[in-house]
Amino acid sequence: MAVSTPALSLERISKHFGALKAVEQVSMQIQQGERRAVIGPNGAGKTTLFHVVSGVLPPTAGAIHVFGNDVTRLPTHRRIRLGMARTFQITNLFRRLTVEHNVYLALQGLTPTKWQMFRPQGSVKELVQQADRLLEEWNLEDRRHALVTELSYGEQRALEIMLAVCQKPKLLLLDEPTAGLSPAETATAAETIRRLPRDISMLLIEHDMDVVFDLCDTMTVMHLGEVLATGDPASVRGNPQVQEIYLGEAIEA
Amino acid sequence: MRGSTKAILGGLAFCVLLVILSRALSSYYLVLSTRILIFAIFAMSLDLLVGYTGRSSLGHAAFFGFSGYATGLFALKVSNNLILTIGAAVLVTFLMALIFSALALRARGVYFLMLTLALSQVIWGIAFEWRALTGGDDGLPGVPRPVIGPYHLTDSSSFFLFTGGMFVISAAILLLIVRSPFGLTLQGIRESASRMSALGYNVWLHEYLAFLISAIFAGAAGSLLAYQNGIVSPTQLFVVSSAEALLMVILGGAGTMIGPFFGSVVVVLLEYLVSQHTERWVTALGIIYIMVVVGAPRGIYPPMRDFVIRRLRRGKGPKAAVSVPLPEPAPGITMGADT
Amino acid sequence: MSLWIIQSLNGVSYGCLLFLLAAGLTLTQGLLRVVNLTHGSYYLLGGYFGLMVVKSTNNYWLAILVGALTMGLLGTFIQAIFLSRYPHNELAQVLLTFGFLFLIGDLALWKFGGTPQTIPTPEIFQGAVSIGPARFPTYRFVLIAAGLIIGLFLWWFIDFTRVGMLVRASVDDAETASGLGVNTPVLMTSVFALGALLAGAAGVIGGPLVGMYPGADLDVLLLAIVCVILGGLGSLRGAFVAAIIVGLLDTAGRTLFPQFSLFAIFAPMAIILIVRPAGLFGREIA
Repeated sequence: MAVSTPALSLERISKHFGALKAVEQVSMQIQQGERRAVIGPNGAGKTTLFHVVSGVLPPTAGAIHVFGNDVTRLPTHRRIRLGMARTFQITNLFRRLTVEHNVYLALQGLTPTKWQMFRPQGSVKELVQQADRLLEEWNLEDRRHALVTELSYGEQRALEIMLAVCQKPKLLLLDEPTAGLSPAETATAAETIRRLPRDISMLLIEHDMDVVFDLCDTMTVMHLGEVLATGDPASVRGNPQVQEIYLGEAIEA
Repeated sequence: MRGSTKAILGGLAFCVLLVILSRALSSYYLVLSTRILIFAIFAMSLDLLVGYTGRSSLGHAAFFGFSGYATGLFALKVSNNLILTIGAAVLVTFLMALIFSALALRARGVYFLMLTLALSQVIWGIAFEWRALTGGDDGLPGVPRPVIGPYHLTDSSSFFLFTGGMFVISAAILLLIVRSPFGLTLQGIRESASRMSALGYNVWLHEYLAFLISAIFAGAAGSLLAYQNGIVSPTQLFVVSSAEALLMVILGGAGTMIGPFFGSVVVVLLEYLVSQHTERWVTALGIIYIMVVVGAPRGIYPPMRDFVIRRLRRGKGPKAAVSVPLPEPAPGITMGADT
Repeated sequence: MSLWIIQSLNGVSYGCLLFLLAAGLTLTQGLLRVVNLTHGSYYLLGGYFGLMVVKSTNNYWLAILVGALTMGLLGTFIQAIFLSRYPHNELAQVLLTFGFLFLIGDLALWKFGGTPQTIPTPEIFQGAVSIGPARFPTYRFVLIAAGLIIGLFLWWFIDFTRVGMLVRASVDDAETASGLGVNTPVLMTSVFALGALLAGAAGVIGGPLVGMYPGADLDVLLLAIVCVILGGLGSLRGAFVAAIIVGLLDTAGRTLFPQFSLFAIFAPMAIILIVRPAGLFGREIA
């Protein structure tokens, strides 16, 4: 795969629900190693776009390429195998399983281990070691036997990101990673994201502008399902159309 | 003591218990106990689907009964060798399950429930109407007692032991499966299929496999029941059988694999007790259903197990790190629908 | 030739009866997404109650009223006291409604006995009507009329009234709907009551034709499920079309190959599942 192949390429992606045009003719290219934020008011179609990119929803029109591969008709799990990963806006963890098991599931998702039926989970040494390392890194070692339902919201959001990153993806879709977090937790989350390997391409939906300007190289502004503007933060900030749609809207700090 | 050592010892102790019972119990109670073991296998197979994969099926009797009829027909017309018969019956049930599961998995949630019910009743309907093959509502009588080489399993004691052996093997395999990475995968699917897809799992394929495995064991149980009863009747295919199995799973504790065994004990014993005093067993069954939902949604096994674990921990002092194997969350029926 | 006319009309009239049941199930399982295995029980019990009324008062219309209302009340009771406590929890709903299915069915067996019973055809509808060379029992037309009237009423209710719109809104997004002031629990209970009411009425209306017998609750439930699957989850239009198709297939099955009449109904259902899992008029699979 050439260095110039975009990590993600969307060509005129549309998603309609009957008469509702949730996403309309969206084109964008994310280069390898790029960190792009997708911003826009609620209802702009950002999460729908993520669902189309990750394969949860089929597009009504348009094409999607991941690292040069046409994934438009592929189911989600096949896209993941090409190096994609995502988090969800509404925390989507394995609630009645322990933190440890959540991590195991993430780690073995792309390995043949998941088909093993006749050895205990704990006997896969390599997996256990990887899990141990990750739990240490993410400061969840002492919560390892806790059920997800017992974790605080901040811990759950951290786990949400951790699961996506476990599989060493090359393209990461983060859907509002700091939603609902306190300022302190937001800073921690942002720091965590910033420290991720630089060669991971990232697409980030965010409402918190500080986080956006801190973490991202480029921004795309969406409005009513369409792309309004794309560019580096400074130029987007100066764009009169962008200013107009945000005028009067309370931007959460 | 390591978990696996404990499990093996537990299994051996259970086998010893079975042998003792086979000598100690009267024929009447041996028949009852055999029935309990058969339905325990049936219920455990269903737990794999319901408790672990999160797929509530109302059509599990399809595998149970189909295998029963296959056993009866094979034993009457081809060979009465037990290994061959059960093997053949489980095989054709597996083949049927390939189609059944593929159709059923086209649905989710409420639709899945209705579909499994409908599909299973189709099979019941065919058995009911095809008198020439199945004897219709008279059933298929005269299923001979099985034979393995020179051994005739004609008395209740030897059949009980054989069934006990089948139970131990089935339970061992199923317990292995649910504690394995594959078992964890199924639980992940139960908790969040969308998350699993996003982690690269082919959810449909795992669900399909779970369905097939559970069909195999349900078929084994169904085959044993045909031999036990000496007659195969459409009841084995009927929705009430599916419902009883589901009750055993829930009452015992869905998602624990051991709970359904206790569920079988309770339901089979209750059925026998109630039926001796009144004809209204079905009414009682209905009431039990309602009571389980309202009063004991997690089932009876999880509280028992938690109690024992706490006793063990306390007994060993504050530093006691009891190595709990893959803890089972035992969702019971508190699981929400992933619609 | 006249055989075909009679059989077609028989099929259509049976289908209209099925529609009364399929409609109720569509409302609860299709729209509200609540598992409702007790649905067939309302048919059975409503029929038995209707029979009792006819036996004591000889009033057919009163029987329908009683059958419908008592079942509406029963449905309300079950929903309000039990089912509503377990929203989105299918397994709990299955067990509860199964429990009531068994309970009601067995108690009905105890009280009314195991012999199949029918409601005597009311005098004004006795006799037959000639269509060309064929003689067609008048009562069959009553079924067709019932199906059409109820169908039109439901269509108007769901598509054109405010309440119907609220039902559709609640189905699409219960949280928002209740945030907008829609009393979702009351609404759901009302829809449930309506479904049970229709089934109860069907029990009486179908009484002269199909009658009541142990196991009718399950038979009827199954047929209703087939209609809902065939027609598409949540689509009343689909339920109507599917019910007519199933009615025709059932009649054809009984005439042509009585040995496999059940199969005649289920095979098309299986085909639909393979070809178009959402059903004829359905929009989604779950």
